[in-house]
Amino acid sequence: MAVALDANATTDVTGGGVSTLDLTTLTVGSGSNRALVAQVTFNVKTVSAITVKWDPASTNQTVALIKTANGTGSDGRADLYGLVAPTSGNKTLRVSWTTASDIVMNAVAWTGVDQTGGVTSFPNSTSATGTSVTPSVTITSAVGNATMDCSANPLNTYSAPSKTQTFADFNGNVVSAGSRAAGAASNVHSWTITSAAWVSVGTDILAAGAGDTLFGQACL
Amino acid sequence: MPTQDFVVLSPAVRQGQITSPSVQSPANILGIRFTLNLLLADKLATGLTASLHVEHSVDGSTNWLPVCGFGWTSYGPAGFRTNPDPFLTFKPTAFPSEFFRAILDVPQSLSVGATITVTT
Repeated sequence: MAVALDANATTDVTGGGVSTLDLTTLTVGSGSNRALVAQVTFNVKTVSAITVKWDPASTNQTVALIKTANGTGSDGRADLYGLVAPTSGNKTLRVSWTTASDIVMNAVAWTGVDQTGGVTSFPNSTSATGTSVTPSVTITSAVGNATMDCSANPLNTYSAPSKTQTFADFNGNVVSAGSRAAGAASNVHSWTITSAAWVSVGTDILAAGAGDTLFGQACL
Repeated sequence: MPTQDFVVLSPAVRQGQITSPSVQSPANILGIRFTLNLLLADKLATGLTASLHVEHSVDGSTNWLPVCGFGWTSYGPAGFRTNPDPFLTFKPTAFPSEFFRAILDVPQSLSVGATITVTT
């Protein structure tokens, strides 16, 4: 079973000077082998005690950190969080942390994802930093999987994504963007900005049954 | 790009849950920003909290649905950068010509107002 897009949030959301942020514009469908990936960026690199919850008013599912990295400039942190078997429906995605920060958040729902969770469902996470006009992260993946990235910098708007854009925002003191793609052996998620210190994180999203196939081949 | 401010809740000492009047987004809206207007002294206090949630409605009178929201905790005596009024933005183009309103939750007495800034 290949990973397939279920839904992207209708809009991303930006908060300034806050310590929790809610996004209620994602509707998770009822398809099989569901997963949710949140793309989150902060301007303050030292935010701590971050928790991300899906449907906090009811099923209160924890969305676990897949990958985080800080940029080399004054500001800019990019995170990806993942959850398998998210509760279906139009629910709230809530991120909470200590101390104030600006934040941007988007979320994408998928079907056809391995339901093990953790690094099994979201393998090959990676990060990259630089000071240039081309933020980029290369994600190891496979046909049938999917990949996502999230990038942040303190200054400059993102454009020209190499993959399908899921969000791009410049309303706070952190400028960020994210994208998604069908899996391939090596997926390059790149953007264009005016030169700045950027940080990008990426993850593979494993297809349901893909691990079984690999195991079967190994046994043979 | 022109902007227009709608002071939907005038600054006043408030406590509890307050629902603002609604604002209809113009058809050519490009951006929207919800700002919690606070006193500097309160922003530099310790332990004050407030939250703001945004709802949208097709007709402005029924079936209000949540869009997004934030929680704010006072920055403390050391402050937070330029001690901004906390704010929230999203892409209103996803809700063309719809109505928006803000729901404030203020658990303790606090001087607070709310402004919706529309960019067209």
